[in-house]
Amino acid sequence: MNVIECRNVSKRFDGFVAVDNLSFEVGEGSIFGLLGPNGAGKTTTIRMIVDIFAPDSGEISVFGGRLTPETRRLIGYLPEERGLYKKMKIGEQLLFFARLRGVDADEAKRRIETWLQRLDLSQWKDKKADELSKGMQQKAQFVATVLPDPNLLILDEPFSGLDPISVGMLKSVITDLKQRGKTIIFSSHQMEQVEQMCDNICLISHATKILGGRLREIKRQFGRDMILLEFDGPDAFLSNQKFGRVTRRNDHVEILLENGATSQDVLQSALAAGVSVRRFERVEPSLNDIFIESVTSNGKNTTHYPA
Amino acid sequence: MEKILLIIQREYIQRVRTRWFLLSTILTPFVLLGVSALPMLASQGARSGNNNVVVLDQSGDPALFTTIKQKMADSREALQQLTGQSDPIILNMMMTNFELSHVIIPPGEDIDASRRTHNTDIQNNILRGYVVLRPEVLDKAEPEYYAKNVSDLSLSQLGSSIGKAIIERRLVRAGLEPAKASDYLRTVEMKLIKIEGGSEKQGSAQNVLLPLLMFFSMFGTIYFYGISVMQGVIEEKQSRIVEVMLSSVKPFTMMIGKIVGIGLVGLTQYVIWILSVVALTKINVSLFGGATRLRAFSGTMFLWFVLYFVLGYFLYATVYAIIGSIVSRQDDAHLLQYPITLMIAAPGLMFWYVMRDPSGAQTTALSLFPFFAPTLMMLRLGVVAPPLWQILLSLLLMILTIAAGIWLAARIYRVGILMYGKRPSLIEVGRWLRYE
Repeated sequence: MNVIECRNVSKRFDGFVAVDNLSFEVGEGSIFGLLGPNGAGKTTTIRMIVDIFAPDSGEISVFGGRLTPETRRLIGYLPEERGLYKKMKIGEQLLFFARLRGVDADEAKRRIETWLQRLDLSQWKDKKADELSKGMQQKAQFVATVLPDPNLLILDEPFSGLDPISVGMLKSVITDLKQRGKTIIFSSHQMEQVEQMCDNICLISHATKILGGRLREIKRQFGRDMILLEFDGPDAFLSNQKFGRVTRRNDHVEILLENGATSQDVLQSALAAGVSVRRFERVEPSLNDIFIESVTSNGKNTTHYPA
Repeated sequence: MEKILLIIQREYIQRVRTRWFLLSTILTPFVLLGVSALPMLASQGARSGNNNVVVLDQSGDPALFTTIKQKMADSREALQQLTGQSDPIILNMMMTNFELSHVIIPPGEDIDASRRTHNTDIQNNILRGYVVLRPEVLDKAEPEYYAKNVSDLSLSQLGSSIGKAIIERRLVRAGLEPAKASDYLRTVEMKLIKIEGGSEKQGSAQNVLLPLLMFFSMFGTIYFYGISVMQGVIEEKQSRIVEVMLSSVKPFTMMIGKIVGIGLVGLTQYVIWILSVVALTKINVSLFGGATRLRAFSGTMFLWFVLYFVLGYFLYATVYAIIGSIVSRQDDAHLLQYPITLMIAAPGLMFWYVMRDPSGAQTTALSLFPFFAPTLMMLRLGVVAPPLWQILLSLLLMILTIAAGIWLAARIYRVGILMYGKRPSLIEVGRWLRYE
């Protein structure tokens, strides 16, 4: 079942197109990444999903229809800006937000303790928001989002501005939430940072969808035949053969197989040339590579891989 | 319902806890006390500057000095009637209470020689000055006053009392009975009678202090708490708290909760102020007599005051909340907020006008205007007792305006609070009203 379905959604602001004919769906219990460079239209899309504004055309259904007060309650939304009261103590605001969202006071206090501990914020509980660093505020705000235990988490750039340790913490929390059956959709412009945790993605650039679908499918599709080879010895054998495009890296070479060459052919010629192979691996391209390749070669052609 | 209570509670507790609230709440009664003690302090200052005046009398008329003293007492009483002020401290402020002492100079003695002996006393501030009444003073010679400071305004009072006494003694010498002479010389004041509705009312005197205090505290608190609402709205908009809260509360509920919460802070402050003023007067802290003067605040006056504050605050807070919801940043708010602030402050320009004619048609009309009512009606209440129907009408008009304001706010707020970027034009805002 799909928790979110976007059908041909478009949104214009003062003459410029923020989102153009965007379609995607988010399955229940999955992690969905809305990826793309800055200004691609990710935030606009998210704000349409949470019904801050309506699309000019197209349709968005969340939990099977338009948002109602009941379905709204199931959503935890983390905006990109810090949604905290500057002059209020962290613990107090979390309690306030949780109670406003219907969690009773005692239960809320328990959850706050657990979450603050988990995100390493316990000692900041009695500090005012503006005494915290941006990253800590962001974590505190994340806690506010998950406190009411929403079924659908919508996170706008949850990792930006966080140090690597915090990013790791947040990722593991998000993965845990998925294990518990929650649906998570987040946006990010740092694709390499999030690719391994997404089940499905939608890559957008300049308001348009570049590609989307199951991440594994996409990678398989783009992962055509890339071989990573690390070896000691002369590399003359590489130029003799017609495996395909060879890219020399620092300590290894990448070979994009062409003309029906197989990985087996590469290994055999390497061994025949007498070099000692230290690493031989069939690699998947990174999302970054895929993105760049799609934008440059495909132009605006939309490739959609069914989920 | 539970949610709005939570919001009210948050606004209230967060604000009551601030240092600003504690300081202003605790300090204001003392400032009030200090301000009301000013006249006393001033008159004490005047007293320490000493009011001793020696009258060197060579007129040979034994009744002249007592007549002078009589005239001084009379003019003081006239002032008291004119102003309705019976407080000796305030009277002293308006009119120096000279302490006259009588030195009779026998005829033939050199009055100039004996008067010079007092010059050192004047130098040493033992004497404020001395009056010289020469032998011919009942014929044509003029009384003389010697002092370091001869530009003292209160000297005209002294001079006219002495002048009147001399004229009275002249009339007596011409054969008039002393009682009659005194009668004939009584100042003739024109009585002022106001025709109001069907009844005639003697113009009552004004106490400027009380209306002034009420006027400024009304203006100050409505402005301060109104601006607080606006800043709170902008904070919630800027930090996207409103968006986060969308899943549990409507923006409009948040706005109402905020207005009520902040209003309760203001009310708490007033209750503390009023209680401390009452307490100060009850335990009779006659700290420079300040407390006595605060007694002029009557219970009903407090009631009206609180009522006008609550309604005035609601009226302006709604407008300020709308402004906050329209703009994206604090800076953008200035331009929009300016005319509103002007509206609260405008009655300040009418202050003396209202004081002069507190029941005139224009004053009445202006004080019924909902945006001016809190300050102007309160000002009128401090000066005269406006007819009850006018008070009730102004309250009713305010309530209706608040209802209209909230209706408007509900429509503008829901759109504005989620809108970012450049400030929308008024035409755009007008379009929001019709959104569904």
